[in-house]
Amino acid sequence: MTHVQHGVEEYLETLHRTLAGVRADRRQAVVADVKAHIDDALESGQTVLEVLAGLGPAQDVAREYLGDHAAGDHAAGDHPPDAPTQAARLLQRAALVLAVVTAVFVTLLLPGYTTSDGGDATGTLAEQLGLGLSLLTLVPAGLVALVLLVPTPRRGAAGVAVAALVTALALATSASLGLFYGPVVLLAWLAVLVPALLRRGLSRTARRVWRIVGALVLLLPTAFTVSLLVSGSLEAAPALLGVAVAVLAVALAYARGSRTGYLLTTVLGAALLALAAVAGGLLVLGLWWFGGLWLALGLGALAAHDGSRPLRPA
Amino acid sequence: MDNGSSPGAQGSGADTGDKVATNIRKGVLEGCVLALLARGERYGLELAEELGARGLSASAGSLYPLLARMRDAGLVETRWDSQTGARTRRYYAITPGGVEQLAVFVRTWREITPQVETLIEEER
Repeated sequence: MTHVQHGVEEYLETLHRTLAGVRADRRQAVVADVKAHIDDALESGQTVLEVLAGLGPAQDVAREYLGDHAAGDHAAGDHPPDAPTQAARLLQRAALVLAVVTAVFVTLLLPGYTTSDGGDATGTLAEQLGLGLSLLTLVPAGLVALVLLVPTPRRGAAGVAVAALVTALALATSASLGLFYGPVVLLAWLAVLVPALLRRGLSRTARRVWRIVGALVLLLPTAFTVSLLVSGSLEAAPALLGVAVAVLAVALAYARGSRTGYLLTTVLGAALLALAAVAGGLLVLGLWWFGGLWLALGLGALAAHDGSRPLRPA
Repeated sequence: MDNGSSPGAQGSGADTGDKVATNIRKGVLEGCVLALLARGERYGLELAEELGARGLSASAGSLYPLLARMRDAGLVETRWDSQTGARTRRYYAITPGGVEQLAVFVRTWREITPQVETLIEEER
């Protein structure tokens, strides 16, 4: 049996190798097609030799796909953008929206949050600096928008450059408002990383690790809250318990890899960001960061999930 | 394409006959796959055997590259279906885009074949 499996594995490996350069998801799909055929044929009573002879050399199968593929790409000009491109677009748009929301938040809603001047300021940034100067808070949004204006083939490089720039800006201004741009920085990098990972192909293990880590990040504040409740530092309120149960359910759905779980994670993240915007107080940065983190976790997983499904026609 | 089966590379006798058959099959295989899938979804081996029995497919090795390209173009979709047994099977199903493409194939085929027939008759 090991000899038999070896022959099949070698065939599939050759096929996989010869398809180098093909988008990872498509390459995996072709190998899965051929593997399913081999499994079915073996089950129907054919020998490995018969099955592989019926298929012909793996290199020829790969070459035929490559030939067909190139021809197909030339024939149809109206191909939908490929999955990694769509994932990048989703995340870049989200980063842009969040960058604008962040600018509005720190300019108009946040009461004088500066650590550099002793924190005695009471008005919002717009009141302190005037609306003109506070437009500077929109610089990261402008940078992220630039990526979306770049033609698709060069968008990857532009994405990296802008993610690096936004990171540098946030760090340089971290003494004042830069830290609030953390979630934007996170999304800008995800918009670069997720498509790259999709192109390379994500292993089953990598997906599982992502889902588990994501679920843990979702549970972290809940676990913290529960520990406060148990220790008696926090008074148990039905609303608080309700939220904890809801987060637990979403975290479980996330760990299971359900699309709804990813969607709800995104919604939870957005809700937390909104809560930070209205609640203010000492916890504002923490809420904002966790909101951004959850939003990024949800959107990143959504983009990766949709990107690894075969494209459906409209 | 690059495997020497182009119409220009002509051998003689049975060799040429094979090449003609391969080229013609290649041209109609996509339409035939769509026609079979329009009757109901099938797994790959089933599809290969059905096409083979009708003398329409040269080898299973050329069917899968075609199916993959059709999937890329949104004409078919694949799904894993768990059987009553332990193993899951990979099924191919026609998409709405594939149904449209099949209609185009049928229309074109009906336009072309009478013309070819007439031409051959005139040659005699």
